[in-house]
Amino acid sequence: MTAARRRGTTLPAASRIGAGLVGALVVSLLGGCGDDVGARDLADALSAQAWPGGEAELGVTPGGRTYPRPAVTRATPVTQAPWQAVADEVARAVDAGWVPVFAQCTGPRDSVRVDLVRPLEVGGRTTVAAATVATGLEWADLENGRDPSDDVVLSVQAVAPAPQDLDDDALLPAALRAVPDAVDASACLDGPPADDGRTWVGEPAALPPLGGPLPR
Amino acid sequence: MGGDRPVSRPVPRRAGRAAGPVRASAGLGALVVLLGATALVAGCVPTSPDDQTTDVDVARYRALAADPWLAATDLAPGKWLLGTDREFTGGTASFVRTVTGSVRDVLVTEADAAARAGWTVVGARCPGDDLWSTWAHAVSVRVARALDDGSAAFATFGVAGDDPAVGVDDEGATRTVRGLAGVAHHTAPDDDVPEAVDLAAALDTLSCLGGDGGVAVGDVVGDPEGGR
Repeated sequence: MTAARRRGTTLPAASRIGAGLVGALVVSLLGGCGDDVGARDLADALSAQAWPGGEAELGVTPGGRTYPRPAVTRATPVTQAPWQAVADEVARAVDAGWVPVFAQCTGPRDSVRVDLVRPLEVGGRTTVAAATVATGLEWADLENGRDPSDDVVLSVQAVAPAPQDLDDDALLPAALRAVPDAVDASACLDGPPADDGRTWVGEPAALPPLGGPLPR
Repeated sequence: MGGDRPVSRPVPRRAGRAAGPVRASAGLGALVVLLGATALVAGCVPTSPDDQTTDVDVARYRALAADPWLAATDLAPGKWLLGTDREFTGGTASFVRTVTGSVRDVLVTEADAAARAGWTVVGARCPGDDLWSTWAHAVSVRVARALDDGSAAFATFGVAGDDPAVGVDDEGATRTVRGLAGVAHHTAPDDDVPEAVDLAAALDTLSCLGGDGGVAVGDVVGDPEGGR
């Protein structure tokens, strides 16, 4: 009777403890899964941004511990002057929450380049995506045989860090480790840049769509 | 008849009993061969070395990535050359942009901008069939700058992709400038920044720009396409 009572009291207690342990294990496992941010999660987060719009894609890597980063890329011919085309596009980006951190330009007909960054919320974590708006980069890809001097092509490339970058930010531009203050890009965007040589403000923040290898 | 059965029946039964071990040993053999082949192939195909990219390569990569003159859109840190037996390449960075002016003015504009970011002109040369791809058809300028760790970064830029009908002296032409920069891999010996060259004088000398000198001035040794 005593033994039966003992069994009757101790076994349910052990079961409760066991169940508790299993429950805690499951919760911790699920919690761990919740913190895992995959490349597709990052691609979806970038695709969801109002600017630049479009589906983020993951490229194929050549191996050797390199890895793809989610990227949205587009290149379109425009009729405006380079500075005007970039200024219009950057204005749309700023309206969507992107922050210009670098601008570079030369003369009124020459390439203008602006880098922007913005926070990206993914799976409970915050990272930073980068975008480059520029003219003069992609003419060769649009149509072979055209005289590049006749074309103004606006290129936009937005790239999100890869999961590998979240674990080790060694290869991220400084501007992606924390969103910096916006730079004043007016010298390149508020009118035709003076034809007095190449000028720039800020530090480049371009993030290549192919990352790695990271140090082991 | 009854005597035939014991003779006829045991044969397939014996064969059946024998087939088990034969199939098993054949399967085991195939597995051993497969494992052996896998091990051999794994041994033959080099895997990425653990030290292919170190903190030294990352620091040099960051220096190129942060360079405001380069403003590179294509960047890679130093790494192992896929499939090789410990052959490596240093970090690289490249840009493409358009600038208006004569070829000479465009090169001077870029060199002036590079100087403001710490680069020094160390050489210039005419196009030539002995050069790879881009610089086979473009006047190129080579610049270098010292990095914080004492090694040197090199960059080569030039006018590439011009319409052949546009003369080199046409000041109204918008030209495509391409630049490639490179730093040494941590396993390679560091280079020093070569002696500076006066670009204006160098361009005056180049035969492809109307000068009466040769096709090259200053430090143009190495692979300009790689930047080093």
